[in-house]
Amino acid sequence: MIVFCRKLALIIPILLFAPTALFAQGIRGELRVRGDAVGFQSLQRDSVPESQVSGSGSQRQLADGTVVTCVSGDFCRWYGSGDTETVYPVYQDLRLVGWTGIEGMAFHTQLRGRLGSDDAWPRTEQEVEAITAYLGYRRGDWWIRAGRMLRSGSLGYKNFDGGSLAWRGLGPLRVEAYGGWSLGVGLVAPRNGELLTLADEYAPNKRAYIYGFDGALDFGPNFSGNVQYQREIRTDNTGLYSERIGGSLRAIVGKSTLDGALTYDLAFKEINLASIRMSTPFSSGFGLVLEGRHYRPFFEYWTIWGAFSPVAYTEGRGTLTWTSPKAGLSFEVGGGYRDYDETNAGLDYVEIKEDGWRLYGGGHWVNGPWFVDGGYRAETGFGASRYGGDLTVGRLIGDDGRIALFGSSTKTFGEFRIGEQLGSGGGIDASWNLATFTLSGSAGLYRITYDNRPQNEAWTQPRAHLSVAWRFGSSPTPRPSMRGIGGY
Amino acid sequence: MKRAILIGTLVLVGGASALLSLPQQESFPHARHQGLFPSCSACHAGIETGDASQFVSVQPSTCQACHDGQTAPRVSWDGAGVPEATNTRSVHPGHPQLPCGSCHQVPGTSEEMQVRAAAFDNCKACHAPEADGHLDENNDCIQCHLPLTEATGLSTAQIAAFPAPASHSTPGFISTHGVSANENVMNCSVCHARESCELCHVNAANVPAIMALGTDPRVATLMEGKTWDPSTPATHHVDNWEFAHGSAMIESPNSCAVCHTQDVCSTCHVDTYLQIAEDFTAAGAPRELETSIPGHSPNFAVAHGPAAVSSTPKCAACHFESYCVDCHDGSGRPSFHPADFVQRHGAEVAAQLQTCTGCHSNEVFCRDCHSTQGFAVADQTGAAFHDAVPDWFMAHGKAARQGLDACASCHSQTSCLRCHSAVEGFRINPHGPDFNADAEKAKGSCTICHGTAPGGE
Repeated sequence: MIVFCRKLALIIPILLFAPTALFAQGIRGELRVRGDAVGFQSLQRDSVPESQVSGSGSQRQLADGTVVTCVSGDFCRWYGSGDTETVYPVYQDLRLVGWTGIEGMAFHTQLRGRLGSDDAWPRTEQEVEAITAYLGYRRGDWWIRAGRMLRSGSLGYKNFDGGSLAWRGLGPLRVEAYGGWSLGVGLVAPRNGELLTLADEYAPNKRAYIYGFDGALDFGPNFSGNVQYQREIRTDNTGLYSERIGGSLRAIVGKSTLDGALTYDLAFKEINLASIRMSTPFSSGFGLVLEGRHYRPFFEYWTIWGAFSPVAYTEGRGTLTWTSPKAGLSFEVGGGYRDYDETNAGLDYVEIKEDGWRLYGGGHWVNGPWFVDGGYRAETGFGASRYGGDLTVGRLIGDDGRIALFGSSTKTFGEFRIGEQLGSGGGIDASWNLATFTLSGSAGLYRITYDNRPQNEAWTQPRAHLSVAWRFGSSPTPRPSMRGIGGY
Repeated sequence: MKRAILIGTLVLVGGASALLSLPQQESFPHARHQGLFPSCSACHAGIETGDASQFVSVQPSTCQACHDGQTAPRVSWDGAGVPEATNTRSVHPGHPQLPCGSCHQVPGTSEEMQVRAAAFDNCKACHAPEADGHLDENNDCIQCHLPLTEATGLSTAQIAAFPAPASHSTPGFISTHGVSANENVMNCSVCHARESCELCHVNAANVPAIMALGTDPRVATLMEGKTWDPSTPATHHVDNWEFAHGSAMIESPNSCAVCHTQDVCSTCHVDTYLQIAEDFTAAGAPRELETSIPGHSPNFAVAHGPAAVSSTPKCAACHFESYCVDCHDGSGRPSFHPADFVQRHGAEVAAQLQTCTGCHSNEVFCRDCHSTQGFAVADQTGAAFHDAVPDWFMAHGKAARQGLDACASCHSQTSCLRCHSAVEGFRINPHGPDFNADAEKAKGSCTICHGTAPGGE
C-alpha cells in the first residue's frame, strides 16, 4: 500500500504539472477516484468419504438433499457456501489531452491506479497501468503517433507500444500502418509479464512484435468501410500469437443503416465473426433492427483453446423500437435465437442444448425532471440461463444533480449446476456536478437466495460506490449527463 | 428704431423656436412677427455654434420690450425650457450655409417668417434620391440621427415605437444583416444598442461591430423577457448536418460562432482541439443541442463496432479515447454493463452476445476472480461443480466446444492438459473432425500439447 501510494504520489504530479510547465499550450483532463464496496460469498468445496454416503453411482444425495458427486473408493464432493466478505477496491484514473506549443502536436495520457481489496477484486494486483501515453503530430494529410497507444479497428480493441503513421491524402481513403511491441488484450501489459505468467503455466515467455495496416474508405455518412490486417509474432521469431484480418462497413440506404463486420483467423482458417445488421426507422416513431450473426471465439495461438475446435453459433435477432420524444417515451422489445454448429462431441444420452434464445423488453420515460427506466431480459442457453428485470426511478435536480432509486431481481442457473440462485434488492444512486467536480455514489443491498442447494446459505450482499471526478484544463470536458446509471 | 429692434427680436425668437429639434411643438407665431426681426440668429444663437441649449437664446425680457401691455399686449412666456427629447441630430454646424427657409419654410409660402420646424421633405430637395424614403436601406441614418445611446432623452416607450426599415422584414435578413452591420454599424446604432445584439449573438463580446455599439439600459429593458427565435438556418436542414457541418464551419466560422459557443462544440468534439473554434465564446448561453445522436441506432452501445471502425460516425470527434476505455478496459466504470451484471453475467458469457475477451483477459481477469471466490480451484478434480449433468467428464466435450470462452474463465490450460496432452495423461485428442490449423502459424498451440509442432520444430 505504501509503495503504491508513493508511485501515485510521484506519477500524478508529473503528469499533471510537468507537461503543463514544460511544453503544453493547453490541457484538458480528468482525475477520477472511485472506491467500491462489494460483498461476495465464496464457494467452498466439501467432501465426505464415499462409503458414508448411501446409494450408488457417481451422483448421490446427502440426507439434506445435497447432490454430491462420488468417486468409488474415494470421496463424495460438493460445493457449499464459503465465507462472505466485502472487498474495497479503489481506482484512480488520470486522463490528459494536451496541445503543445507546436501546431498539430498533442499528447494523450490515460493512467490508472488500483489499490485495496488485497487482490480479491480482479486486477488490483496491477497497481499502476498506463493505458495510453503517446505523442501525436498532425501535418496536412499525415498523422504520426508514438508511445503507448490503443487501436480500435475491425479486429477489436488493442493497446501496444510503438508508433503509427496515417495518411489521408486520397480523398475518402485513409491508410494507416502501425507497429511496435504487443500488449495482451485486457492486460495492457506484456504477455510475458507477471500478470499472465503467474496466472497461467503456459503463458508466453517472450514478448511479441505487432504490426498491421488499416485502410478505411469514408464517403461521408452514407458509405464507409474499413479493412485491417494484424500480426503478432514472438520477438524471437519462433511463432505467432495471432494473425487475423477483418473488415467492416456501414452504408445508409434510404432511411436504413446497414452495418457489416467480418473477422477471419488466418491460422485456424476460420471466420470468427460475420455479422450484418440493418436498422430501419418507420413512421410514427417505430424502428426495426434486424441482425444476423455468426460467431466463433478467437483464441491466441499461445493457448491450446483454438486447437480444441470451438464451434460457431449462428443467430438471428430482431428488435422493435418505439420512440415518442413528445411524450418522453421509448420502448424496445426483441428477441433472438441461436443455433450451434455440430460439435461431434459429447454423449447421446446426456442432453446438452445445442441452441439458445433470448427475449428482452424495456422502456424509458422522461417527464420533466423525472425519469424511469425498466427492462426485463430472459436468456437461456446450453450452460447458463437467467431471467430478471430491473427498474430505476429517478429525478434530476436542476442541470447538475440526480437522485434515483433502483432495484432488480435476477434468477440464474449457472454453469451446469443444480439449483437456482435469486438475487433481489435495490438501493439509491445520486450524482452531483459541482463546478468542475462530479460527485457520485450509490448504495444498495441485495438478498441472495438459493433453491435446491441446501448447503448454500442465503446472504445479504452490499454494493456501494463513491467517486469524485475533477475535470480541469483550458477547455474542460463537458459535465457528464445526469441520466442513466449502471451497476454491478 | 426702438420698435424695429423689438420687432426684430421677436422675429428671432420665432425663428429659434422653428429651429428646435423635431418634433417640438411650434408655439411661437413667426408669421405674425413678419418683418420685425432682421436675422434668425439673434434669437437662435445656437444654430451657428451647434449649442443646443442656445437654439432658443432669446430671453422673456426681450419679448417684454414690446409686449409690455402698452405697446403690445403682454404675453406669458418664461423661457425656452428644456427642448423636447429627440434623436435627431442638429445639422447646422458643418452644414453648407443655406437660407433658413430652405429647410424651415412652410410649404406653399414664400414670405419671410413663414417658417416651421425643419421638415424631412425639405431635405429631399437636395438629398434626393437617397433620401426619397426615410427608412430606405441605403440611407445614412447616422447623418441625421444620434446613436441611441446619446439620445438619452428618449423614453423606452419611444424607442419601442421606432419604425423598422422595410429591409428588416425581408427574408434572410437575419442571416445577412451582418454584412451591412460590419460596413456601417453606426447606422444600426440609431435604433440598436449592444443589448439588441446580445439576445442572439452569444459571441457579442468578440464582434467588433457589436462592441462598437454602446450599452443602453432602455434597450436592456426592452430585451427583457424576449427569447431567441430558434429558427434553424436553412443550411442545417440537410441530411446528416451533424456530420457535414465541418466544411461550412471552415468556410465561415464566425457564422457558427453567432449561435454556438465552445461548450456546444465540446459537447461532441471532446477529443479534438478545435483550433477553428478558438475565437468562439468559451461559455455563456449556449444553444440547446439536439439530443438525438445521429448514427447511433438502438443498442449502439453493444453494436457500434462496425460503425466505430468505418470512420462514420467519426468517433474521435465526439469521444475521448477514455470513453472507449471506460468500457473496453472493463473495470473503471461499470456503467457499460447493466445493473446486476455480476449476478447475471454467467449467461451472458455463455451466449457471448458481446465478445467478453475483447476487453477482459480470461486468465487475469475472469479466472482471477473465479479462483478467489472458489469457482475455479487450481487442483480441483472430479465433476462436483457441474452437478446438473451426470457423467460430466464424458459429456463435457460438447459444452466445451460450444462455450470454450466460458470454460477458460475458470479452467487453466494445465487442467485440460491432464487428459488432452499428446505426450502424457490420457492423451485424448481434443481436435474436431474439421480441424485444419496452419501449423506454421499456430505453432504455439501445437507445441504445448505435442511438445513439438508438426514438422518437428
